[in-house]
Amino acid sequence: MNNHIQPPLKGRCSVNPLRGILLFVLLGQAIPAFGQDDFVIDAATAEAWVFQNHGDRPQAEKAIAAQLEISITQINRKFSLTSEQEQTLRLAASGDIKRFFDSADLVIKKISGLKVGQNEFNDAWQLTIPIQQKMRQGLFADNSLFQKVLYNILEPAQSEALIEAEKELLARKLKALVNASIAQIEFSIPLTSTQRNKLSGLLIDKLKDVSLDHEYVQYLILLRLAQFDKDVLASFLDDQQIEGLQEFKNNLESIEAFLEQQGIIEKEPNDG
Amino acid sequence: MALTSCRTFAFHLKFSAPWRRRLAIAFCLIICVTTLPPATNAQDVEVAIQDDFGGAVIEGQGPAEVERQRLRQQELAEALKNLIRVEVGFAKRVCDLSPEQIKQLSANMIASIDTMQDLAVDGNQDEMFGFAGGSTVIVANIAGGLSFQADPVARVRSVLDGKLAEIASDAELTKYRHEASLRETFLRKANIAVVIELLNKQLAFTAEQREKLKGELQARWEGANTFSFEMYMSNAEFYPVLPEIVMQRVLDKNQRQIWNQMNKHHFPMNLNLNAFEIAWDE
Repeated sequence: MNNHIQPPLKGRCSVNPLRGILLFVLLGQAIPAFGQDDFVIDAATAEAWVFQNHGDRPQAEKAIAAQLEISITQINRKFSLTSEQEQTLRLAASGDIKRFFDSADLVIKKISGLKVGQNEFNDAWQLTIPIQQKMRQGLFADNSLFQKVLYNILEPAQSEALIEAEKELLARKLKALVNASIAQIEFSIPLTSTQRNKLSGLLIDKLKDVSLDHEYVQYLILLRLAQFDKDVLASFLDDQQIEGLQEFKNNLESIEAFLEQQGIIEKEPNDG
Repeated sequence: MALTSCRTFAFHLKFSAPWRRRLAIAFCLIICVTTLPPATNAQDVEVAIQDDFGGAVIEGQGPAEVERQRLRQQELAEALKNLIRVEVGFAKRVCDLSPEQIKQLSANMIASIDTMQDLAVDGNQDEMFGFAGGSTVIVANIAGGLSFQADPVARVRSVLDGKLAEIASDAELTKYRHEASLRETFLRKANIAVVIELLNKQLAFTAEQREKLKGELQARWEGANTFSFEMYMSNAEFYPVLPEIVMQRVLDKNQRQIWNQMNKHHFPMNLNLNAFEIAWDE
């Protein structure tokens, strides 16, 4: 965490309430006292806000260069890119990098030198959020020029290898998340090893086609667990455990509505 | 309602968009309901806890401080009692203990609560920080505002292992220890697998690196059992604090460059306990 002054609670809550409360506590001591004098955002603070952990532009550039090398190496592990393909990809990446720093510079320019009270302070912080998010998500992730070009330059065999690798990654991620969720449940409803393995298998099967790239994935896993038919659960759990899961089910109804609203799930019957 | 739940709830209502408020309400509902004290008729348990802590007077402290400590001890006893319920339930399930054995085990566990007073952090103003008093690392929080400086689950399990040895047959004890070991391994492996996938998004491990990291973390990461994966899922800009020696050993130059600039933060484990187990009432 850098030493520059960070904005207050209100401005940090717009992305995720949990994240907001956390950041408030984390950064609470760095919040400037408003009311007497306005605060001037200097250029270094503006850069620090925009580039967050990287601190300033040179550090951010280094991190992005390392990110690009990792992305290219990762593809080369699945299949060998030809030098022509690699060159095209690097060109696409330079487009992503330029676009990113253009946006970052614009924000830095906009907020540098601003004399702000509390409200303007929050507004200035809001401007930096998309840049921070982009940096966190990675410049060469989905929807980047890099990814668009990648899928266009691959030979059919290479595309297949890429899709296969994606499948493997998703399967690994699903298993990890399901098992970690089961382990959490066991703090309230302990299972035997046989029950645990059975439950893990059932949940992985139930969730194999869903998207895991969202922050509500644990709710989704708990919801699917609670939606198993009682007869299915009764085949390997005892009455007390089923009763415990029923409590989860009662509590998860509003979560289900929320996940539907977000388009994370579609309504489906409780068919186990 | 739990203190943490109250704070979260109030925060969401005040600052979040409407749909997030709804989620906050639902989320807090879960926390509140799942942390309700379990319905039980075990009055002897309540009496035992009151007897243990109710009359304590600490020399040199004013009445307000004595009262504060008494309430805190009661809160801790209540939390530990819930953990004990779950753990006795586990022992009962895996060993098929008799009602007499369960009764004896429960009584012995309850009697041992006062040996676990050192688990709680005195004062929890900074529990979301993961630290108390600026230096004590908070390992876990339990809804109700109680913070722990050591893993309460591990302690209760360890105490139970000893108490079970006093009343169970060799075969029962062996079975319990086998299942307990499988459970801990499952938790540890599951948490480590999530950590690897979280990091993989930024660091793109090779298959060899992934295996090496898995082995190294299993051997060296003390926080694996209390890893709060849901906090890192909800707050994607933060990554867990991992043994640096492991990371430096596994990562290549480019990965190290990125890892060094990633935002690491320790979140305490959130134990939203609900003891569905009511083993000793049966």
